[in-house]
Amino acid sequence: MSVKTHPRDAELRMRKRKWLMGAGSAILLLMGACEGSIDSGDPGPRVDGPAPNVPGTLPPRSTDPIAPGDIEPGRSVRRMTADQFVNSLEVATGQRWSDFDRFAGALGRADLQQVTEEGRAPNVTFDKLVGDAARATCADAIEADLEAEDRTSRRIVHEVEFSERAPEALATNIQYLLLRFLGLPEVPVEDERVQTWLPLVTEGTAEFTDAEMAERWEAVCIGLATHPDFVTY
Amino acid sequence: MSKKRTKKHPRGISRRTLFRGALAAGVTAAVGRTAKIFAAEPTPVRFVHLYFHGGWDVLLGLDPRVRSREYSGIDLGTDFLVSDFRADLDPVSIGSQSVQLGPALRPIIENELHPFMTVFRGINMNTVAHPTAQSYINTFRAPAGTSARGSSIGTALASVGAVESSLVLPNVSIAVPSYNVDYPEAFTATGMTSANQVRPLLVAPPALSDDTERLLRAAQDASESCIHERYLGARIDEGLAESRRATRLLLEEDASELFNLGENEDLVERYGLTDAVLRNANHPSYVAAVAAQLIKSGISRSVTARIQIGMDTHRNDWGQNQGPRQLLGWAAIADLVADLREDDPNLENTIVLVTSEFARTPRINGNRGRDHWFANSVGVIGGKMRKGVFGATRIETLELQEIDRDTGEAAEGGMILTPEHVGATIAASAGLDASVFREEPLAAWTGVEE
Repeated sequence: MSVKTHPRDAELRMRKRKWLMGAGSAILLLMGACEGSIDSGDPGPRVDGPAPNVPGTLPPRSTDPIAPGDIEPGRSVRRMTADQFVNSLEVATGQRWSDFDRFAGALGRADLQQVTEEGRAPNVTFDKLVGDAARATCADAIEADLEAEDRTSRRIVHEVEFSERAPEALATNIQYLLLRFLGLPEVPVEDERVQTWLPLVTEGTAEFTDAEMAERWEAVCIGLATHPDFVTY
Repeated sequence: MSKKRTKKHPRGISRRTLFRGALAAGVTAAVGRTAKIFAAEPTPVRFVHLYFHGGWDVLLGLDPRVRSREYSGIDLGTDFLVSDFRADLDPVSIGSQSVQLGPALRPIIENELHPFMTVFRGINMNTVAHPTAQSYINTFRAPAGTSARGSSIGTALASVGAVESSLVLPNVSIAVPSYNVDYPEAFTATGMTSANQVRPLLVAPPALSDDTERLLRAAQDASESCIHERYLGARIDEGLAESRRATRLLLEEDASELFNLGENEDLVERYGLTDAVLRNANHPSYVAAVAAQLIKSGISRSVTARIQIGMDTHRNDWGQNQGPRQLLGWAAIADLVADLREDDPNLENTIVLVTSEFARTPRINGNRGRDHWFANSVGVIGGKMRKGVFGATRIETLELQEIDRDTGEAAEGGMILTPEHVGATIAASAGLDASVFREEPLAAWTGVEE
């Protein structure tokens, strides 16, 4: 005895077949992504002009005709925005720059009325104001360190006492500051990143008072707060 | 919403991809053309763009009418005006033309600066919305909605010519947004919200001891970025290093005293810097003095500044305030131009551009004020452009009308003047590639032989 099938059954079977094909394609694509055939994360070579489209993969990245021509594909380093900088400085030094609101516009902060994009130009204004902010907050931070009850609550001179003069000991605080400001863990003492800043706290300091030594640590703080790796990411 | 079908090129490349490639090539070619202009090293231009915020009444300024007669579509509103603005000024000669200027431009005439003017009338702003028009008059290119498109005219003019070592702030923008998408990063404006922020930029912070400063500088110069080399794209650390060198130069020259306005007798006298003015960094005279010092000192090549506020007179403040505020702005501009003429008597290498985002209605509204009007005017003082008036509005109604491209006179079948025409003409007169404006410069008015 033959069984008659309802026309709607055929339609439902067709829909089910299409759904399965779509799901299967999606699974295949996902498998390709996990294995890296879709986008390995490598931005790939820059392609100008028309690019052939290979089925199953995204086309190579081509020059975006909308954006300025010199933007390279992939992640590029950017300058901090005004808010990012002042907040980062506060975290690093424990002090807030009191003139920030006055100069935020000059640092590029968008007022969201006429200026809707954050300024990120590494220009003279930025350099000057970053320097001013670093000097102001580092001075306050050192003053706070001098008044701190113990070394562990200090932000800048954390690993040594202000009376310390031995280069090996002073280097440990440089290493600490490189971690604090630049996120560099366990930089060897002989590394040039430590050796660059060490003379600031060793040259001519043998007979220094604690106050004179504090000024040298203030200078290290200023130098790291104005370092290109601090103000960019 | 259905997707557009992309027709395939016979070689299998989509037409959209071809278009994008052609556009990319065009962008590259444009940059190349700009580089060629730089290679020819045109003479740098000192450029000042002074902006009246809110939309000015051109009937009191750059596009007046004679008060002794009546106009079918214009309310002169003479009875509502303060007394100084009820009388016409005598026509003056600009180029080969006899030109009527409004009472707000009296300081320009009294200082005999009108012979250096090029006035553009009947510019179609195509909008009466503040943010849209502000973006338009900033870049002289039609905005995308309210968002500015292209680079500010101040940025463009800052890029003209080689960069001298003293040019540490090539482009400064005070209380006006600035944009840079077409020119090298070095010409991006240093933005400030107020004219009194210039001096703090030039004041050196309290120094540490000499030895400490020496060691700090040595360490800063010796330290290098560890992360930049691991990323693609421009080396911002190099830009930061250049900025640091420029900042040191700026601070060593101790230019801050140039902006201690109250201590400078010449500035106090020239700009009328009373104690009240010195306390108000938004005052036109304060702004003009700062702009002039930036240009004269060689610190900046281009300064854009908001010279006056409060032009948006929708109510009965029109009669009381529109004229006096415009006059105050033009008076400060006259002082600035006279100051700049000391180094450039014929203003051949100095351009002062004066704008507002739009004009005001020829009819007075029910509140005895004027609303927004799209037929705008722009004034240019100095530069190489032909002097006189280009363009016109309809005499009876202040409406736009067609203009002869060469003579600038009303002509049926002629062009409608747009900000792009004006921007292209200014750029071409300064030796810049004007193609970014996507309109041909007014060749008979650029002052440049082709």
